[in-house]
Amino acid sequence: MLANGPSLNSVFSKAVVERSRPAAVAIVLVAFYGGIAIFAYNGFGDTMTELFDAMPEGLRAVYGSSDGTPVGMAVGAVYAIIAPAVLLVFAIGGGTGAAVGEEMKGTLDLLLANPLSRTGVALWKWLVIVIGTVLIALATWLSIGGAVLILGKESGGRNLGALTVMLIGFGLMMGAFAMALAAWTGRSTIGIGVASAIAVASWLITTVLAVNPAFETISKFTPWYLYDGTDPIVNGISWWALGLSLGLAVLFTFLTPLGLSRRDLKG
Amino acid sequence: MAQVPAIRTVGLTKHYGKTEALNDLDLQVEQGEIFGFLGPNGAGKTTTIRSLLNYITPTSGSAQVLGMDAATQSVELREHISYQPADYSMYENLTGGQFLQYFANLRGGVDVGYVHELAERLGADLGKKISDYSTGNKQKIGLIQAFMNKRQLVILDEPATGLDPLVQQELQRMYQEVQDDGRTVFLSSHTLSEVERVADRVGILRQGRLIVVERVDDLKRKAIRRLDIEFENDVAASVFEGVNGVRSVTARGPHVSVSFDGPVGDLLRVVVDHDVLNIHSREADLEEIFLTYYRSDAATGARAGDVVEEAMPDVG
Repeated sequence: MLANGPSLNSVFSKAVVERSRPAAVAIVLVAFYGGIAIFAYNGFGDTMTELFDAMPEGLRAVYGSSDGTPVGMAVGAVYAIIAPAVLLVFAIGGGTGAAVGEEMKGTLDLLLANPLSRTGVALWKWLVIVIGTVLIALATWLSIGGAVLILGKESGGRNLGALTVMLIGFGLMMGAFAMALAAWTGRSTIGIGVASAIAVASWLITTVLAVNPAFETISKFTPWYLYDGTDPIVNGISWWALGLSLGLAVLFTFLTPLGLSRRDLKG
Repeated sequence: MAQVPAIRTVGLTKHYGKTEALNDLDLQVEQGEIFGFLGPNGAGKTTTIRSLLNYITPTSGSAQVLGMDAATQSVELREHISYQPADYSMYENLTGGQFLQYFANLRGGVDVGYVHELAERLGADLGKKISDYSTGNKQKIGLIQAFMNKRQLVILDEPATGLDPLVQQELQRMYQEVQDDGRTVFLSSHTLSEVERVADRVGILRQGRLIVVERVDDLKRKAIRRLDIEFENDVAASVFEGVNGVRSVTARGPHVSVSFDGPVGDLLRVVVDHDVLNIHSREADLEEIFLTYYRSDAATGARAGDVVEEAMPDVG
């Protein structure tokens, strides 16, 4: 052997090692913030409820479909802001990296001297991002759920599991979209920039701006609506929204090889 | 049954917008030969190689590698070739050994002992991180990955870049070993001396067009050679005008340089009509041949047949 290590067995295993650090950072971030948020908001007690009631409607919408209880507000803060933000950074960054990361770093010329296809390299790396996205979402669920359990609070029928599943669908959809964009354009900045802009705009339209009647209709046609718009924390999994999110993720994943094959490898 | 060619391109053309990177390239490289692919930067060498590997899609034409279609069987054909690009980056966080292990795992069937032997011959330190390597050391790791697989066709793009002369000599022995093994080396280079020493045949590419494919020996025979003559007295360049085979003459007082092709007899008969102190014949090397083929008319000061006379510089 020249050098030992399972990370050197395949493109997949190398990608697992490369992505394990950002995934671990993301997991620690959402778990830590989730746990802290639950305890902190709960510690403020009724003050938080009064604060929530005094908020303008648009600001309340930032907390998702919070019921105004301290725990509800914490859940809202984590699932409506922190967890999606962390997950999107991982999925969008990872998606573009899967499509064009090695090409932009200049390592793909040598890698493809081996019997590998560009599509194969991209999809193995994307699989790692899919796994990481699921793990980060599960970590969010476990941290929030765990903190609620420790406090002995009622989750009030709030369906954290459903929200987590919807979050996974949302992350995969946006990550795959960024991957396909990068594959077609050959530029990671376009993949990251456009996907991030759409995610932020759709969050604004579906939460803060949705209270304005002018945005009421359009707010139902955004990626964020597929995640949170059907109130999964109250109503459980919206199968059509989940199916559409995952369907789009699969569609973008299939479009990625087409984008790669129509474009010369940058040299 | 005849062997399929190692490389065969028919009308291979690649345009980038209005720029013709490669134009109607018809090339055949046989198995078992060392083929030198020559041309300056931007001539289309790398474009050709990237087309062979399906890294880029040709505008028109086709390419086959070991009988496999480059466009539709690219993954399959990469099983049978190894390749070192001209410009590439490596995984900076890995050591040289880890990098080679990764590539060996991706292919399978690599003899680790042979990898160590290659590293020793090229003087590569496999224990250092790639980020700490010099350009030459990175080049060595790239070369080891190209040779360690013992594939049927070894494609090397500017392989001598950054290597010191001793390592270059070792590299030439490695080319020879590949050939002795019945395998093929496709050697793209603008380092003419490197190709001249090892190649059986060369192809010269100019502005995307293949202008000649010849055996190195034949090319040398056809090449313009040069005689540097020192006469007892000043001799005018016009003396050699019209002499059979003479392509150009430069005269500086008693020192005359004559470029010629073909038999030297007529030229010598003119030379010996004058008192000769010294005569020096320079064997044509590929550099001159290359420049002859490459020199564009517009850039050529002295064309074939031109006679140039220069005044003796003042001394004193």
